[in-house]
Amino acid sequence: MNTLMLTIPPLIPLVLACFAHRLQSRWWLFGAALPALYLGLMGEPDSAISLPWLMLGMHFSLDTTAQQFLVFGSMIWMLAALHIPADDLMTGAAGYRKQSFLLAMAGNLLLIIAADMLTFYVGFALMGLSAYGLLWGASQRARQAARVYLVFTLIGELALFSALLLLMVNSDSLLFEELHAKPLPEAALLLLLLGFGIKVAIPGLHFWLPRAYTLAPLFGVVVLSGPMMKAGLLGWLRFLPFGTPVDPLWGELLLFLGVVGVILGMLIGAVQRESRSVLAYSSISKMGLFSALIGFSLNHPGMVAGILPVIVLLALHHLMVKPMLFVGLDLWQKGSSTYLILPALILLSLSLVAFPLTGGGAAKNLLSTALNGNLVWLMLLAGIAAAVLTVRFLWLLKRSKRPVESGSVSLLGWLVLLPVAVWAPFAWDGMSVEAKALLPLILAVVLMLIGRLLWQRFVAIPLPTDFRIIRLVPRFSQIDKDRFRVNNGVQQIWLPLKQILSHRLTEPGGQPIASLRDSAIWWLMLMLALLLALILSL
Amino acid sequence: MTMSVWLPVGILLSSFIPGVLIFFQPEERHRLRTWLNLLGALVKLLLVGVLIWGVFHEQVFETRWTMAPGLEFVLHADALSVLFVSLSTLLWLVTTIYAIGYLERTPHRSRFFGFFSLCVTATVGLALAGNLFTFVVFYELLTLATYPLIAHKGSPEALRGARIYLRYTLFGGLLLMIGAVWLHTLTGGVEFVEGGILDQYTNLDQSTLRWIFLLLIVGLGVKAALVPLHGWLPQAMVAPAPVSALLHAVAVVKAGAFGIVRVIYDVYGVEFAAELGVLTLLGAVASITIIYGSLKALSQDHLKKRLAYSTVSQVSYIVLGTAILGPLATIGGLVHLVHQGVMKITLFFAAGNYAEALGIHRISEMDGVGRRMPGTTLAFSIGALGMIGIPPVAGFISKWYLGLGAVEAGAAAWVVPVLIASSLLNAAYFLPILYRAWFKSPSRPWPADRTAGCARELPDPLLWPPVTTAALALLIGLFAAAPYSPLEWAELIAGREYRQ
Amino acid sequence: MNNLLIWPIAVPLFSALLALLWIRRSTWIGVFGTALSLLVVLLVGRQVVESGPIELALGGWTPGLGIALRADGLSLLMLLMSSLVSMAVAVYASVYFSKAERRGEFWVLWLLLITALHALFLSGDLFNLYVTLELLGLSAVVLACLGGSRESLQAALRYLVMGLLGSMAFLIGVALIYAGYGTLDMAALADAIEAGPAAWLALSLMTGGLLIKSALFPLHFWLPPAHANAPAPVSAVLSALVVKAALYLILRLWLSLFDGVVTQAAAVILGLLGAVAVVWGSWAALQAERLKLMAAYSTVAQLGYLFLFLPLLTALPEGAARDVALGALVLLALTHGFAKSAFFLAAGVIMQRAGHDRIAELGGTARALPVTAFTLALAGVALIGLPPSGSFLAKWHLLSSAFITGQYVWLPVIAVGTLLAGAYIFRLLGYAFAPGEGVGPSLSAGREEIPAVLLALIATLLLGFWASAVWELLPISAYVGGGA
Repeated sequence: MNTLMLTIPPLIPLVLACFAHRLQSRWWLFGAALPALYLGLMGEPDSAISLPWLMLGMHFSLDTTAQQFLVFGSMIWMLAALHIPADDLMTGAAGYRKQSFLLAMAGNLLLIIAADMLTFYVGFALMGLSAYGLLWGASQRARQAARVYLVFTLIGELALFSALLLLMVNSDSLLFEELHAKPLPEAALLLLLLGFGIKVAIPGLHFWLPRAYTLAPLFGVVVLSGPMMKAGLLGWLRFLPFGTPVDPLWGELLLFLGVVGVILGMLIGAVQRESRSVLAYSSISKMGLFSALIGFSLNHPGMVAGILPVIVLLALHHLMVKPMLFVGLDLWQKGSSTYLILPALILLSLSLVAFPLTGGGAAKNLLSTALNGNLVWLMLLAGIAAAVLTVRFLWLLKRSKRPVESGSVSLLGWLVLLPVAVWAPFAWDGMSVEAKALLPLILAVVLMLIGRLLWQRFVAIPLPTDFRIIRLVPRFSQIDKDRFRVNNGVQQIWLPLKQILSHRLTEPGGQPIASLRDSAIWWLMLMLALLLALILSL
Repeated sequence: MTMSVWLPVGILLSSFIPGVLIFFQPEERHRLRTWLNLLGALVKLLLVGVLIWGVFHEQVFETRWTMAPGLEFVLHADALSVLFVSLSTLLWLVTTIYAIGYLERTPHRSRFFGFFSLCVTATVGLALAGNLFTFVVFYELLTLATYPLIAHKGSPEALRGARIYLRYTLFGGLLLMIGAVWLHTLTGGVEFVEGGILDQYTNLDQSTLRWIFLLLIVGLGVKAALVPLHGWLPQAMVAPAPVSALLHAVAVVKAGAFGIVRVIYDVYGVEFAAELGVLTLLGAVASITIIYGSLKALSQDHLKKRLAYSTVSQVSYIVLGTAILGPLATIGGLVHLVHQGVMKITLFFAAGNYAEALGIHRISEMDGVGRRMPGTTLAFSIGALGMIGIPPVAGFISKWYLGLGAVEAGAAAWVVPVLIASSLLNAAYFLPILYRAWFKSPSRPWPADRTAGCARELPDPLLWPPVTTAALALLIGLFAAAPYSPLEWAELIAGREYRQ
Repeated sequence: MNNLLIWPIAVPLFSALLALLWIRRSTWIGVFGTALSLLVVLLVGRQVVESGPIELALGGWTPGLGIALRADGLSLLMLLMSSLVSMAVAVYASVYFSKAERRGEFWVLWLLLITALHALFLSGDLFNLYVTLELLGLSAVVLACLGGSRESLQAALRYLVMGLLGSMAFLIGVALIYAGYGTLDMAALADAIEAGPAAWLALSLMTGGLLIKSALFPLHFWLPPAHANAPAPVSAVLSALVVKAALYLILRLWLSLFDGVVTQAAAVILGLLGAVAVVWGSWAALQAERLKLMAAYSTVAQLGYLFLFLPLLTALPEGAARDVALGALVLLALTHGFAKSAFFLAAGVIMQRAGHDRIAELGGTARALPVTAFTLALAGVALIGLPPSGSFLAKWHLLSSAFITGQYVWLPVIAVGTLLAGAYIFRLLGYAFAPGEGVGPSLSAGREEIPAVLLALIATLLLGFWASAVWELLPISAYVGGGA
């Protein structure tokens, strides 16, 4: 494989961003992440390339971590692309969502494959700053949230910049490989904790997060809570001197902050009245766990080899689950296909609380093994926090339902990703990635989606009006939408089925299906089923 | 052999002759004037190309002319001068095109373009000056050539701004001259030599040298707008936009900064200057200027004034880089000489376009202008992001090397916080502008809409210069490590200065 | 061909006679006479450059008895300046006085003035110097009152009285010298004069007389009204040349004749007066409301600079450094001569066009009279001492000498003087380049504008870039002693 391939994942969204004002289909945005997915799955492990003429010399490499992040990250980017509202895709739409989305994607993918500090920093900055456009909204509160986010991002960025200066002079090389040849300066460690800590939202640096998560548009939250937040974690993994002894102070500090984050996230999250806020604080809590684990590994150089891959695994799991929850919540609130969404949401929640037989559970088991009896209390605490927040989330879920119809593509995409999100960690074979195992599934999805795109075009052309407009307008006008749907192959199957189901399920007293009782029953049934499966497998 | 003598002169004459010819053109012959301007700019570009090639291959270009006993007029091209010459030449071409578009149908164009060419001649002369005497000559000539440009509009404010400018610069020029004469009498001639010459004169009194340094730096600091000598710069923004652009990016402010670089590296020698202990003071002044300029910029609503204070702050990056001992900081300072020029000229072009097309002079009037003038606003945004130091725009490269230099020299404790604070302040005064331009929607009609009948947002000569320079700012950042890039030159110069 | 030396004096003298006889054609005669004397001066110049100083004893008598003429580097430079300036002014005057009734008188006096100037620069003995000085003074006075107004008559009268007083003092000094040494030939005196009461007294008297003529502060009070009220061509030569004649004599006396007598203290006194003149003259120029008055006060200040050189010259040891400083002095004098005459001519153009020369009402000059405005700017550059004018180089060496001799006290004077000069020049330019109708519409770019701009160009470009010629010519000396 030509190593120049490595440059393609960030390059494609970057190039597309330049022409974003012309792109009116969300499939462009969707497709922008495809090369990353391909590279993650098929890329030759440990291939690397140096471009000495680019900026101050850029270096890319594709190690295992990078591949994992690419695979899962790109899937979330694709998912987010499917949820961009049609308004934002129009030419002249307010807020420059397409541009921000593509630039943030480019930055995110760039930092994942970066092999030197500066490339990482460039990607990180590009991603962090572009996300402003994802968070910005027309309302006063949304604008304020976006502004707060921007201020924090800038501060984090400058902290990172300063750290880079110290590191560069310290090791006289930009490459991550040569970074730890000499012990890092203490100031650089502090700055690294600060710089990435903002993105990871460790307590004290988290103030931007809850409002950003509640007020931003769905696709913004999806990428923010998934790939972008984990970029901070990836930063720590890349920069911090694991395996070499450092002043225990830093590890302790991070551990302490992490624990505070877990507790704080739980306590505040539990009293939130909005589902999204609960998810936001759940993120803080979860990232607290990560911070604590990183802190622990810093102070236990001997155990690093065992712990770090599991942290990555856990991080990837969370990277998938949290955005899925946000999307599911949104679908739920829009009232589409309740019968599918509720169990799926519950399944995701279970995975989040590390219920056995879910990916979360598997990862947690691995973690316990890796920790080798240490930090049992933390695991317990984190488990409690996750459970509390999940219960609160599900509790709020049913209240927020609003009967509005929504597009089917997004639902489909979500459902396709669901198993990956929930069970991905099972694809690990003996702690090494076998991401290729997922390939057929993903290829199938991609093919389906491409087929859909073609189908849509094919259907759209014979319509009397200009087809470019048609592709946008249906989302506004109910009539066109209906006609559109009838012509749509997938819908032709789904629609009667759905009608029957919904008719039957909402029959008694016109009650919506997701009453508290119903959901409790569903949940119990699922638990039983899972329990059964568990027992059988033993 | 003859070429090596005539090339520097030719570079000067390529703008001087058109300038003089333009003076005598009647107002209405604007086609001829345009041709003269562009021809001069292109010829100069060509000659500078030859110069770059030659200097890179270590050829010597030198012209000498004895004006008075002991006072030689020397034009000499070394790597540092090439850096500045190519910057001025390139940006002159762009600015000329812009000015032709900007000043269409205004009075006194012959006078304007005449002085405009003389201004560039003086700037290029400064860059090519081979000794302190020649430098002083061109330094004063620059003052003379710029004054009519600032006063060009002839309005009371323009005259007032020009007068203040003159007060400051004549004072500075005088101090520079006194310092130069003093140094001259002690050494018998001050040639610019890479690595400095003063460390060879071991018999000189160190405190005298410190006093001379003070005189020289204060004299140059007036043009470089070091606090508290910066007062003229915000006043001079009354000039027409192309003049402001040139003033802030290439000519005057840069001349001061370039002079400081010359004095420290090629007269004193940076190591010797550090030995004298004068660099710390200079670094402190530069830091104060950086912070003060940004703080003042925050409170300005007038767009050009905000940009002017931003210049005050940004040009001191160059001084700061010079004041830190070490090749990396040197690279940072030198490369910022180019980077700041390209970025700031973009910003001023854009500001001029806003005023020209829609009558926007104040930031509070800029709501939603991004949709109306996307090309200009995009260019402005790139310039502004570069000023903040966002990668991969050129400003980041400067900031990176400055920071590295500071850490290397052990000055991280005070320089890095200054850089960080400056970046934050830059963000604080540039990002709101970008926010207004892109994200807000126009709340009231534009002050004066003059774009009727334009195919694009603006006529081509106004639109393309900012777009070009913005692209340039992006490209020299993106390909900073490529051969012949400004960074490469800065590294070459730093290598020669530190005699590595 | 030593007879060559007689021609620079004879040509204008005969032209003057001719003009007197043929008054209807006086304009042509005046211009051609001036041109011819310029030509002759150039020939003399070539000779001096090729074969060193020339000496001519008129009537074949040996120096000491007869009239001796000598041309060396210094006198050649002064001759060149005076003939070039007078050529330009003559061209201008031919337009200026083309309709005046008294143009005949003007041209006769004009040619006499040139005669006197040339004779003064060429004279080799003290008595001749006195005679030429008197002739110069008288013709200048009459020229100054040609304007005919009441003020100009008053000013001219004052000028006359002061000039006579100065000449008288000079004459007494000459007499003392003759009594003491029995000769008036300067070459002989340069060897003979020794420090003593007679020499001191003579030097003081002669210098005192010349100081009045060269209008050093506080003896300058006659100058501004006289120069400001005379017709423009006359003001130009008065400011540029006539005061320089006195200065030339002071240089001769101090540096070659009395170089053994001169003390540092005496030189410092002159320097201090010069310093006050610089500051005061510039300040007064800044306050002046009329263009020509401003130019006149500027002359006072510029002369002050020239006197600043004296303490430096005496303090410098003989040798390269002193030669450099002397060259700078001469260069400054030359530049000022060209620049100030250009300035006055430009002022004359404006005054004729606008009918007044009130600075505050000069708006629109640049539009109506672009060449003249350009001239003012160029001359202004030279007056401030900005590059590339000759005065910049001169000032550089002035500062340099101050540093070499350690006389730092002059530094602030030079600095303040330069800044004030910048202030008054740019104040003027600010008004001249502002929009307005003060001057009226432009009629034509006339013949009268060209001489001024050429003079200004000589001051700012020629004397800047080819200034080293001054230092090459000066060492060609006819006298032993201080190089002059």
